[in-house]
Amino acid sequence: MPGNAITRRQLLTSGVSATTVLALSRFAVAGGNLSAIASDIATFYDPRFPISRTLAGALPGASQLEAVEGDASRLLTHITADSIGRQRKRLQGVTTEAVPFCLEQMARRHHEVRFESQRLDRDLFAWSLEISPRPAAF
Amino acid sequence: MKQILPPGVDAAAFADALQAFRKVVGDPFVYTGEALLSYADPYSIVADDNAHAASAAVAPASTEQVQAIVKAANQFGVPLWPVSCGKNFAYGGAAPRMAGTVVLDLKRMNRVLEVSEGDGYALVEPGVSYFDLYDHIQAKGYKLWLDVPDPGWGSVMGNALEHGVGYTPYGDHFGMQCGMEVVLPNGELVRTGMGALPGNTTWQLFKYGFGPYMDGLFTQSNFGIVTKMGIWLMPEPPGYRPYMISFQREEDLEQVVDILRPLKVGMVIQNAATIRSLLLVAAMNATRSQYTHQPGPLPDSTLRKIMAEQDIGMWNIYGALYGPPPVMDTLWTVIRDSFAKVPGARFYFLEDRKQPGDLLTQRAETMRGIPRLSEFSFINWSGGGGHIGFSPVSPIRGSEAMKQYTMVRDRMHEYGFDYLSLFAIGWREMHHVVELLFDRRDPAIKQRAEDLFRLLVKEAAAAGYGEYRTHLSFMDDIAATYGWNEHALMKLQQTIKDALDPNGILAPGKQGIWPARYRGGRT
Repeated sequence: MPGNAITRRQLLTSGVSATTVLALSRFAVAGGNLSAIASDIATFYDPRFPISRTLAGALPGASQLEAVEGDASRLLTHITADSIGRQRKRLQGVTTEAVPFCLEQMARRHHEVRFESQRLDRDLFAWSLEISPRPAAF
Repeated sequence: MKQILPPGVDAAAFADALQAFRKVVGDPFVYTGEALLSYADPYSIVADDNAHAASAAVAPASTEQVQAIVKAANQFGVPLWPVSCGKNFAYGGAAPRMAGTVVLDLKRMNRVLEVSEGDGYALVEPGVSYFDLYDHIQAKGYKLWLDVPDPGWGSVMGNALEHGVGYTPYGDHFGMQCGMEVVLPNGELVRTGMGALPGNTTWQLFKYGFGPYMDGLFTQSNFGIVTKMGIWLMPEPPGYRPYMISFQREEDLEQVVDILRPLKVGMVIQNAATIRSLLLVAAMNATRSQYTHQPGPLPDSTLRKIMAEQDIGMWNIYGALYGPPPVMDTLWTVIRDSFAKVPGARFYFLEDRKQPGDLLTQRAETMRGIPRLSEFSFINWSGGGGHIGFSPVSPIRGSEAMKQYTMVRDRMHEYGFDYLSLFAIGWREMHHVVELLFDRRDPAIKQRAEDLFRLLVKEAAAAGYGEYRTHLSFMDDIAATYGWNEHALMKLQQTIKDALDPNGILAPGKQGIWPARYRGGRT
């Protein structure tokens, strides 16, 4: 159920470890500290790891989920100047590390960026990338 | 954040220097404090977090501003570390070699100054990335291809200056460079080659001009700041056909390389083809934990399982054909018949690779000059994201490939790392690019990786292999291996350095070249 808090039953049936749940809950709290920009949020999960979809759906403001494996190339359209425009935007997800790393590095080139991430297990990270248009002086 | 100062510069002089920089570029473009996080090495392998920490960064928007900053740096004795896009992450990113150096960030100089469709070249500033130039060419509708390295976020100029490679027939980036504009360490501006002739029409057409060829002095060096550079672009060919050939056994590497050499030297293989190891290919689509949670080298049974599931080989060639279809057909016949001599060789075109995320579908774009970030997928393999490249050079000979492979693989297994590599085939040599993956959050693993790297450098040098490029932390180590005749080459480089940059303000320590001011006990 995207956009809703993850349920106890979902967690129990997902096989995710208690450590992972604890880490995610900490991350969700941290994510709540980001600016309230829920109008434009894109949420990603990695279909190679079924639990990532469940966990991504529990991230703050998650609605429609988009699948992405290790390659962030296809997602770069989310952070072009045209895509960001004058709006702030949040990308978030539960994926492997290369995805948020590449998005963060690319976004920093053109935009103001706030980035948070939390490692959940060996492969998966919960992350949030808040992007704002850079001041006109640039 | 703790304030780090350049060695030998006190806080007052440093503050005065920053003020001078602000006068040149404006307040928003001098960065200190938290803003310097963007200039940290994200994959630092050494224990000291400040080993490559910048003291500040300054981002000019023009050549004139670069000149003014250089003059101020000379006045205050403040060292500068020029970066273009700063995305060379396996080699240190935007971080400087020497702690306390000010990063001269050229990202705002990002204009594509000229593209000639007829002559097939572009003239670019340092901050133009492969994505930028690709978008520009597409927007204008030019029938030109650029040649891209694996991650497309890097600088066209920076990659050529660092001797980077790509994967079309134009894959030798410095070989395709033509004409530079350079700010010298004293602030003077020079143009190389035909660019020195006022009113010339051939700056981007003829590399050598008149007199000594100077451009090489400004690559992998600290002798000047390149502010404009010409790069040749490939006319769009009438046909393109990427292919993959897989080989099933470890020992096939020797025969494969021996077959490949005459095909490459004779231009039957047209592009900078690569031979990729099983795990480097597998890591594009999977993580280690999907196959095992056990540490140590993967057993043969697991390797065979990966090969079967991903339909890949122990070694895998990724190449492409370019030209009119009859020409491609003829070339392919020769290539296929040559490699068919290897027992178990399998041949694939794009239509044969339907698995989502298959590497040939990614390479098919890279080998036609479409920039991507796909290659970064391999950092997910073992978790933790850290990676550096160990890149020795060897002849294109099967026996040499096997020698390097077994030497490096055995050491990597001994130190608890998986072997992921590719052999990038050049005109007469091959780069053996080994990706050393480590968990950047685990100090113990980082220490093991550092120890292993230094050992590999020594053992490779003892066997006659030198690295063509390296991470900041190992520049001195590798420079020291090029020590023929009592380090005559380094002495020459130091002589040039001291003549051009007597105050030692430009990129101290780059490639192991230290100015007299910082040389101290170093030789």
